[in-house]
Amino acid sequence: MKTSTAWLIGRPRTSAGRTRTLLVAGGAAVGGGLLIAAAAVLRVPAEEVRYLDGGGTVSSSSGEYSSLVVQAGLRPGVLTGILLLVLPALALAWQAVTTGSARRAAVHEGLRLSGATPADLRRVAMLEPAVAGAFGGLLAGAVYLALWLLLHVAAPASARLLPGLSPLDAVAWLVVIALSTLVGGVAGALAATPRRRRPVRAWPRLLAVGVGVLALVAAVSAPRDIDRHARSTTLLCAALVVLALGLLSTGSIWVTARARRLARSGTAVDVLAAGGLRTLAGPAGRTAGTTCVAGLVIGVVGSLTGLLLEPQHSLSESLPGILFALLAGLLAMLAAVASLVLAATDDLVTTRRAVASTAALGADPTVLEQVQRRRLAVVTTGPLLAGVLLGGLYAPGAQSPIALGTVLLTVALALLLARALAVAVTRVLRPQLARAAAPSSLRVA
Amino acid sequence: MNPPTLTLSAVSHTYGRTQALRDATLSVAPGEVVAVTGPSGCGKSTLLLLAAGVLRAQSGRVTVAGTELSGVDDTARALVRRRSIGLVLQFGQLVPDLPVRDNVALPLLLEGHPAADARAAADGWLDRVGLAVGPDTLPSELSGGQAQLAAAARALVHGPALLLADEPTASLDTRSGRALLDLMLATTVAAGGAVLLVTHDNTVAARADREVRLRDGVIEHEVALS
Ligand SMILES: Nc1ncnc2c1ncn2[C@@H]1O[C@H](COP(=O)(O)OP(=O)(O)OP(=O)(O)O)[C@@H](O)[C@H]1O
Ligand SMILES: [Mg+2]
Repeated sequence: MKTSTAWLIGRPRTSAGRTRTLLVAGGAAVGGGLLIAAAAVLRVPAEEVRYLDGGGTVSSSSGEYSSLVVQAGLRPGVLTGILLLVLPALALAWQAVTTGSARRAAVHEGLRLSGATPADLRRVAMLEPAVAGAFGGLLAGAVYLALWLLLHVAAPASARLLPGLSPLDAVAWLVVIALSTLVGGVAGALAATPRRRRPVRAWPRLLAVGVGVLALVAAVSAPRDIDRHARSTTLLCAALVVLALGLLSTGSIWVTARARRLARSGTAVDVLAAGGLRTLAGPAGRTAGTTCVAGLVIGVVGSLTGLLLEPQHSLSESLPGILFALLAGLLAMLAAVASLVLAATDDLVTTRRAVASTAALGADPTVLEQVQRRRLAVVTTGPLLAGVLLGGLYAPGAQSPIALGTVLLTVALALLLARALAVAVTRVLRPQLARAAAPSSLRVA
Repeated sequence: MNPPTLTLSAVSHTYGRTQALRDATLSVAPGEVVAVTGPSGCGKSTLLLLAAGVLRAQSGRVTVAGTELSGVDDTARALVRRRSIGLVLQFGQLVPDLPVRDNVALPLLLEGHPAADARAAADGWLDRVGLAVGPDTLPSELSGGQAQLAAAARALVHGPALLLADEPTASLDTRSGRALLDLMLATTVAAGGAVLLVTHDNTVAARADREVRLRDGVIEHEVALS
């Protein structure tokens, strides 16, 4: 099949398709920009610390950069922070690639009946995500520039996290473009390959979470003298990444378990919510996973802020760190919200015949909205809270009441946020819900 | 005599535990119209999907235009479908995201024809089946009957040697149904093509040269008509 034919057939046409492409590109742009930044951080000259005979240390640091990137013990922490932000961005992009699976199945069936070969189908499936990935890779350069303006140009020397621009950044950018195009295409092919329905095996995923938690606790409670600092920081970072990946993959287990509970409860709203959750456990699980990782980032951010607020740090010293942490928290939240809206919209499109028949049977709009809010609550409240609490483990060193208070405050805020999110997203999607419930949806296959 | 366009020999198919078709043997010669009839759930659609190579025969052999479908891979079967078969299914089965016109052009596009030619041919066939749509009309904007007209246009656009149709007129009123059937049979038979027609409408079956009656997955008997 010619590429032009594949594009003619596979290019995004509906507004849902275009949104999907934009989200894939956006996720790739943010993830890619952050990766370029991570590579740039590695270029910052590291500080050499020499021990004096009489005790004490001498540092070779020039004072041009924040100690966060200069000190061998702290730099991995910054890199982890960046990676933790890359994960929700990429999770969002993957989620966008996999949305609309019911519709895609219908498209494929129609193409197959007209004589499209398996290779043709793969081609059609790969093209759009690959183009979106390439576009995202290009935009990653802009994201990196923005980060550089913020964290190099605008930041005072003591808070500077990124070095000046160099040709190496361009190389990193090219690599990101190539990678995101490739990954986009492969992801598209994977999302379109009908996989045999296997029962989700829970234990390997739960094991990953368990290992992550144990490693986190071990890393955090390791003694913090200078020598071991670098090692425990590396362990900490590894722990956080394992934990994040584990959480991303456990989402569907959580959703299935909750759906079973809801189905047993017996009220109409619960039963309807459970039905939708169970048939869409995959997509809903991915949202739950993304929300949970966002919670993890927020938890870590809260703990870090708490630690930085402890009296032994001066405010001018800790302020850039706190701002950076808040920015990270905000980004994570944005990824979670986008993921939520995406999943809920897709869900409505996929299930609109079911929604319409429910409405035709006499369910009024308030009931439909309650059903939707209940479903959103399942993928927000629990996962967000779990993530925040796990992220809170990061701050067991919080000895002062201020630090502890900050962690508690973060948890409370996260709970409020989850509630507000479920309500707000339901409000935003009201027109889509009305469209799904309209009698014309009854005709949809 | 010419070799048959479609041959099924001792073909069986089961879905899970449901045996939908058992030891079906049947052939359709070039220029011949065969109707498959029988009560709901007797395996008519299954037989048609096997003949189209959409389902793979679990036992027995299916041969279309000289290619034995059960002996080749998915790609080869797709190529046979694209080049030699026109398929009209019970519910139209158009590609939801593609405009109706591109849906009709699809077999030609897949075969590598330039888009402009393929679309011009599609417009011609849409005109012939009597469906007036704009270039950007989507399948979701069609009624059930209109979707069937579009599906028929898609099945005819590449001049297939074998036309397989599953209740092609079920969602149409009597007159449009008769007109569509006239068109499908006339164009295919005139070009020496073979037609296998699934229906439970006696007036539709009466248009065939031969009727094959199915019951519980077994071919009960064949009757020569006309
Ligand atoms: N995908 C499937 N999975 C399981 N069973 C199926 C499937 N498709 C068909 N069947 C079963 O196979 C049998 C034959 O089905 P088929 O669709 O061929 O019947 P049909 O003769 O076309 O009926 P109708 O006139 O209602 O269209 C039925 O008992 C049906 O329940
Ligand atoms: Mg049928």
